[in-house]
Amino acid sequence: VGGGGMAGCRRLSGAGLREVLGPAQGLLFDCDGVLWAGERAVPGAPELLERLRRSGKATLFVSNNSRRSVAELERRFSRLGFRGVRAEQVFSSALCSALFLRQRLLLGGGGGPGRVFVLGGEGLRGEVRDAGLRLAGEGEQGSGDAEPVRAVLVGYDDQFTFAKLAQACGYLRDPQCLLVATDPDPWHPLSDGQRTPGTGSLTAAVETASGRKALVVGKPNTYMFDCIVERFGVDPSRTLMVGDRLETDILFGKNCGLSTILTLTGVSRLEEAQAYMASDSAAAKDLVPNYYVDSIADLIPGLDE
Amino acid sequence: AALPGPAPADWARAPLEPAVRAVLVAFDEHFSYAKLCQALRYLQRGGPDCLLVGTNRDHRLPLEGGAAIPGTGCLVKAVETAAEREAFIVGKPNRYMFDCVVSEFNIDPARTIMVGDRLDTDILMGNSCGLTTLLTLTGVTTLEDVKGHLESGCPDRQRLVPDYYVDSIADLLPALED
Repeated sequence: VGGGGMAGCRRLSGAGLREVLGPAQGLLFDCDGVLWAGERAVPGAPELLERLRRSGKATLFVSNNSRRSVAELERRFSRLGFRGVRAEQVFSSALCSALFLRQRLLLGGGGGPGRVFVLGGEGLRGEVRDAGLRLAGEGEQGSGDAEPVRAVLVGYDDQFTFAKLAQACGYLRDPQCLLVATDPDPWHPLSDGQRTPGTGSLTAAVETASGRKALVVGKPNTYMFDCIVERFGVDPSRTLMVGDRLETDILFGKNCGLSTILTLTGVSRLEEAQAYMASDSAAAKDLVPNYYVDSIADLIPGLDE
Repeated sequence: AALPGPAPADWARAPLEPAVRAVLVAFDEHFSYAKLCQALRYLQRGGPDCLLVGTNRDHRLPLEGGAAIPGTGCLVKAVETAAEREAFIVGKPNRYMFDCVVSEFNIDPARTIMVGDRLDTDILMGNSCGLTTLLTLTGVTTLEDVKGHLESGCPDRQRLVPDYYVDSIADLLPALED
């Protein structure tokens, strides 16, 4: 369980299922591509969560998607047929980025929190405000009276423009101004198989223009796990990470000391996991999941009736 | 063509032009997520049959007073990151433009001087192409920058060091007067 040598990428079924799920106290789930794809729940996923609840296992959700506030996500769970998921169980990169900025700006002391320039939608902006931070407006020029901008936060921004990129760079000329990104994802799948650019591509533009490296809050970095531990006191050795993206979810699990399960209803293909397994590179080995399933519905037989 | 609707889900349904076989990223002060979306769609559709080309990788275009605006390199990086592939870069320090000059004008690198103000574009290209390189100090580079590269033990940085420098290209005039 966790640590040690390379994971084995074994299909989880039958007796193996019970052996792995039995001792687990809780499961962390990625959302997109795991619980749902677009507006459709993965068949059997709502039943799995219900069975986990009845088995007394904790279920928590950790998503790199920085578009939605936690309140919107709670409504989404309900709309897609998942019963009883509460906002406090949901850790999005939007929420965790806001918590990160609150830690660094509000609680870090010294010279006032200042404002945050957010490249992102209303969901992300709302989380930052809810954390007690003030936002810089778009199109503002530097002004002597306004509080200085102490952080630029890059999230999923489908209204990203060159002008906003230039404005962000203006703030980042101050070496004290933080550059933070919600997640590193280069693209996200659309329901028709096309791809839409992710936060990672926008962050690359800001990093290139400013000459700075962003602090990335989301998976595979471990900050979101710190948020989970702070709120719920999870034991990594008794917790499973379930995700669909090797480079984020599975690496996140590895980085946090969790055993990992890859589900094949999302981004990554089994062939990719096997290719990482066969690779000579040490970094590639960290992307190999301990187990895989075709869908998380396959976990149901591993739970007590 | 204007994209239908305000959201990425709409943009992803807009028809793609069938004949597009290359995405070219240049300086674009109207760059937007929507355009990045379309670029990604063409690259996805065409795979290796759709070229990804960038005019240059400059990070910043300096303005007066130390300010700068983002350079083309930022936009190239955004597309490369989304598409998970590398662009073919036309501009300095890559040698493509020099190859264009050579094919037009039949010049001899050993008897040609490259004059520029940027080490990582002008001078690097000149050095890579076997030209004599001359740095002018009227632009972005200071002598301290050059010293730093010269004294670093690093071969990559040594390639940024020019053969000569002048304070300004006007300093070349006396050599040309009879």
